[in-house]
Amino acid sequence: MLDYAQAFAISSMASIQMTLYEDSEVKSNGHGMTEKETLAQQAYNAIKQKILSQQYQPEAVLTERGLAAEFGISRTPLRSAISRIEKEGVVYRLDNGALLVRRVSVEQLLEIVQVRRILEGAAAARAATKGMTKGLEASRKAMLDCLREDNNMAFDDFWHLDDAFHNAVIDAAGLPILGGLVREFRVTARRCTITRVHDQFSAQAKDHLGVIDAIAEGNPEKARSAMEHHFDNVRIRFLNWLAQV
Amino acid sequence: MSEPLAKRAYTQIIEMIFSGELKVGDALQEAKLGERLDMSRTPVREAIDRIKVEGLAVKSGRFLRVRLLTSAEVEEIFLLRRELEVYSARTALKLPREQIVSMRARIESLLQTGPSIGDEHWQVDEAFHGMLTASTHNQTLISTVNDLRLRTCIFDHTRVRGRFLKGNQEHLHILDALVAGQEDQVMELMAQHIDNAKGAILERLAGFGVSGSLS
Repeated sequence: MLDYAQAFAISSMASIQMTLYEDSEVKSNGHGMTEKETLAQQAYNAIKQKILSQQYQPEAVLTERGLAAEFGISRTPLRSAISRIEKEGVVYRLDNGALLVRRVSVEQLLEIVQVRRILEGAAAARAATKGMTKGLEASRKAMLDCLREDNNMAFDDFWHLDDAFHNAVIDAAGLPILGGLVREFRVTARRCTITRVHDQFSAQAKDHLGVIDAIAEGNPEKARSAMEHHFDNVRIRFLNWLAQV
Repeated sequence: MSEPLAKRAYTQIIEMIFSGELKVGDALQEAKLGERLDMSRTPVREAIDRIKVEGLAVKSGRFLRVRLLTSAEVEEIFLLRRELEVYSARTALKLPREQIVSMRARIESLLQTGPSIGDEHWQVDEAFHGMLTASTHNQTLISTVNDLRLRTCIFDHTRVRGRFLKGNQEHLHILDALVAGQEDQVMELMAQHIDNAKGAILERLAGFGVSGSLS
């Protein structure tokens, strides 16, 4: 059997399993928690939530005392929660023991893009064998609208439409586990400042339309290619932006 | 697990699920299980936590209840693994020969000693698949594959007969194709290996029957 500590150490996706199988009480509101969960679990969820929503900024210093006071949780369960988050690499320790929120690196961002390219490419191919859905139709319409009003679109607005597109493809493919993985990937990616650069939303909208059209045509290989092409473009955009830093 | 006691609790609870003593839908209650296993609540709690993380228990009403993987979930887990691991097999073509040779030796040794020695079967499987995912140098990919593997780790060789011999033979064939530098062959063999593992687990799942326990 796997060593339990190993299981958490090697799986930064452990928290995804929670969101998949539990009710939304775990994530929805700041301190909202159920009694049945262990205190350590509650602390883990609460701290993680604040990091992912960027209420704790990258490189922000967290102290055990401060966290204990903030969440009203005693040191022992708190330490267990912190240890878990540390193993996931989301926070790290300086020599003096201070805990910092880790910045999402470009390397990690590019890793995510590569994994998504592989898995969402497969999802697009699978969706093409299953046919168009309402979600995909809605996304197509939204993307066509985007092409018309690109200059005025705010990042957050496009992020939601982008979310909807990717979710629509994954739903059409019938892959809920992948849905959970991609949700977490996107939350992480969003913490990286590069994703927030104002960008050519119309170019992305065109990519999305390419995927949707291939799915509508029922062409799996074309759909996979179109999705892979989309992520290739995402990668190029990030690297170009980096080149200007 | 951090404590041998928690690990024992985990193993025993899993056994209770497979034997039907705990049926699908049954609540996992710390106190009750602690009594049954003659352990304090702390290791039992840790074991239940792990079971939840691995997806074998889900909150339903006030309690955590036993659930089994559905065949749809198994299909999806292996679809995702297939994509990532075939990709990994391809990047593994650039692994140094010594690494492949030494992995081969380890597997041959395992085949000699047989499946009954503790965790060795699982560790070798981990090492084999880990060697391939490591060749991608993509930590996110590595973690994702590990997470997916975690979800079916209860279906180890003790529960899925026949996979010990076949699985390791498939490992050897993949290693041979890597050494020979045969890209298409490597990818085909890996895809086949994943498909075979999936098939064996689906078969085992089917044995759980309508009552939610092995009949």
